[in-house]
Order: sequence, then C-alpha cells, then structure tokens
Amino acid sequence: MSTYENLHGTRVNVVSTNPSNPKDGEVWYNSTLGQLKGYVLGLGSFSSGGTASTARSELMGNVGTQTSSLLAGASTTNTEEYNGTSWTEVNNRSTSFFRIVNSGTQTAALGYGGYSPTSIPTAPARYAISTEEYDGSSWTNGGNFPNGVQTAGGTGTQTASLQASGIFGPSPSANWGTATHHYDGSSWSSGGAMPAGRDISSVTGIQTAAIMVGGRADGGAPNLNAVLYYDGSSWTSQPNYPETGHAIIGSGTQTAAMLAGGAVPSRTTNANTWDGSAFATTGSLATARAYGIGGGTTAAALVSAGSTPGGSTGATEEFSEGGVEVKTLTTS
Amino acid sequence: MENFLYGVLTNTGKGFFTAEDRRNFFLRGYPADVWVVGNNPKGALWVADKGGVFKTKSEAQALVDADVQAAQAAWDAQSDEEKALLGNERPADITLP
Repeated sequence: MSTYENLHGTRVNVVSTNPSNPKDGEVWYNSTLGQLKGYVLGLGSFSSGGTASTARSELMGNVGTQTSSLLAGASTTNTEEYNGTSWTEVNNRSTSFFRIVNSGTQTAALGYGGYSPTSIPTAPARYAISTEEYDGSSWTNGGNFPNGVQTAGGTGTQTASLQASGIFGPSPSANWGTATHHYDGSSWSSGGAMPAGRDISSVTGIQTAAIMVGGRADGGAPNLNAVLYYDGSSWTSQPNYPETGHAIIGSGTQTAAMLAGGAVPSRTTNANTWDGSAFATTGSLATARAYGIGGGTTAAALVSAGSTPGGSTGATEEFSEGGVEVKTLTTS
Repeated sequence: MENFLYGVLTNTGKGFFTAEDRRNFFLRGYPADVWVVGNNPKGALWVADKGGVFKTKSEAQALVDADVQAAQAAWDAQSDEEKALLGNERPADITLP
C-alpha cells in the first residue's frame, strides 16, 4: 500500500494551528484539535434564481447556461428567457405538449416530441411529431420526428441534437423502443440503438459524447440507476447512479455532469456530480422536484421549473461549485 | 431544542436564498410557501430578514396539508384519461421534518 509520503513526497506536517495559507490539496495534522485537516474542495450549493412567470413541469432536456437559458412548452406554448437574474416572456411556441424535450442554447434551441391529452392534427395518435426551432426571437417548424415520441431524453445543439430514450408512437402500438435519433438542423435520422428501451432518462452532453442517467425500464417500471455513454454511434455502460429514478434534471458534459432532483419515485432534493469516473454527492436542491429543465455546467448549473410534491413550479435554483476550504478529514 | 424552525415566506427569486445561506443552515422549501430551516441563529435570522412569519411545526404542517389536499382534490377531479397520463401522479402527502 502506498503512503502519503510516497504519493506527495513529503510527510503530513504536525502543527498546533492550521496554516494561514495552505495550498490546494495540502494535508496536515492539527495536534491541538487532534484532527487530520486538508485544504480541499467543499461541497457546491444551490441558491435561488429568478422565478418564471409560468409554472410548468413535464419538461425534459437542458438548454443553455446558468446565465442564458430558456423555458418553452409543456402544456403551454409560453416561452421565457433567463438572463441569470430574471425570466422574460418572449414569443410563444406554436404548439404545446406534455413531456416535450428542449435542447440547445437560448439563441438556437430545439423543442420536439411530447404528448397531447387530446387528439391533435399534428400528432399521430397524440404523440408529437413536430420539431420547433428557436432563434432567440421566434419559433419556426423544423423537420418532423418520425412517428412521434414522448418522455424522451435529449441533448445537443440545434443542428446536432440527440434523442435517446422515450416512448415512440403512434399509440396504441406505442413502445419503449431502443432507437435513438439525430437531428442535423433540418431532419431526423437514426442513431445507435440503446441496449434496452427506457424513457424519462436524463441525457446530457453533445450528440457525439453524451451521458444517459436513470429513467424507467421498458414498460414503465422499474426505475433505473443504469448509466450509459454514447459516442455518436454506440452505447457503453458506466457506473450506476446513486439512486434509481427518472426525470432527473441534468446538465453539463459527458465527463462533467450535474444531476439534480428526480422522481425516486417521490420528488427528491438530492444532487450529484459526475466527473467521468464516479458520482459524488453535492449540495441539495432547496425544493424537491423532477421533470424540469437543466442548463450550464458542474461549476455553474441551472435547474428551472419542474414538478414538486405540491405541483408545478416556476422556481429556479442556481448551482455553484464549492470553493477550496479547510476541512476535517475522516474515514467516513 | 427542536432541530428546525418553520416559516411562511414568498420566494422572491434571485437572492432569496444564497449559496452561503445553504452552507450555513439547513433550508428546504415546501408547498404553501412553507420553508423549513435549521434551528440556529443564522437560520432564524434568514426567516426574519426575509419578512417571514414563524410558525409552529403543527401550524406549518397544517398549511402544507391544506395545499396538498387541494392539489389532490384537483387531481381527483381529472378525467380517468388525464389521471393515467405518465408522470401525472396523485400529489403525495408530505410530512415536515
């Protein structure tokens, strides 16, 4: 077994008071306190952001950054932009569906799929086939999604988007297929098939480097904790998420992702970061929620809207990573 | 001493609670604008600073129950088709910590 001295080239200093200017990663033993101390990264935390004027849930996907995001659709055509402080209503989408997927940026976003409780002319048997593109000002029609999809996961940009997980239409023959799809800015094509069907998964990253977390298994149960990587054509397994759940709100990249909330099955405040090899618990949401929109990075993430135990919300929470601080090191 | 304090506060958006607040004390939001904070000076100060109205645990629980029951009644009034919508679960009872 290696030792601290072998790893760092020096022994752990024994001091009576904590050093005034420790270096990142420095470890020492405080003989006065009888504690092993380290100057290490503290937990990140969520703070309140602006509240959207229209409370909404049934959203999937992630859009933009902590200071430039978008809420669009989900039982409403209402669209709002976030500037890091407050939400502003802008031009509406032309259609509204539950469990719509949004991705991209505030000035180049994509919204597609979803489900309508009532029959609509643009959806075969209520599964939305429509894709709408937002340019920072207005929504226009994009290429239709084949057969329609709901409860899908999705990520990427307006011109290189990934749909993965979901229930494919048309009903009543709807199914949890393994198919995924790529959008190139004008039309959808087939992507690499998943190992098994699932829906309401959190998918973050880009079309050629995405991570999928949780969801529901084929048929709607059970909840999953399985994690997959996508490289643009094929899927590979990764270590499991700490909880089984669906509708977890994700953001970030394949190797630096933030996952917050979710239905496990009750709404949770729990949040975790992924560094490309393992999940780590981080500061929790103040309000338990699922089915919201994510945005940003693990250093500066955004969680907007969603379904709370008491109903839909327009509340926003902003995540900031922890600073380096003196902490007592224990074995637990 | 109780572990938590209970207050009714309206989320005013940005700055309502900060990252420093979250590091300083337990904070959790519930229906009916009920917020639960750690029972320590910083938690109590936050409720007071935000113009919150302190409640006893039973008073806060009653507010949450009323809100959840209203949401449950609204859910119960939906059509069977709406109730069957994926993700449209009946609002669950909440027990405050």
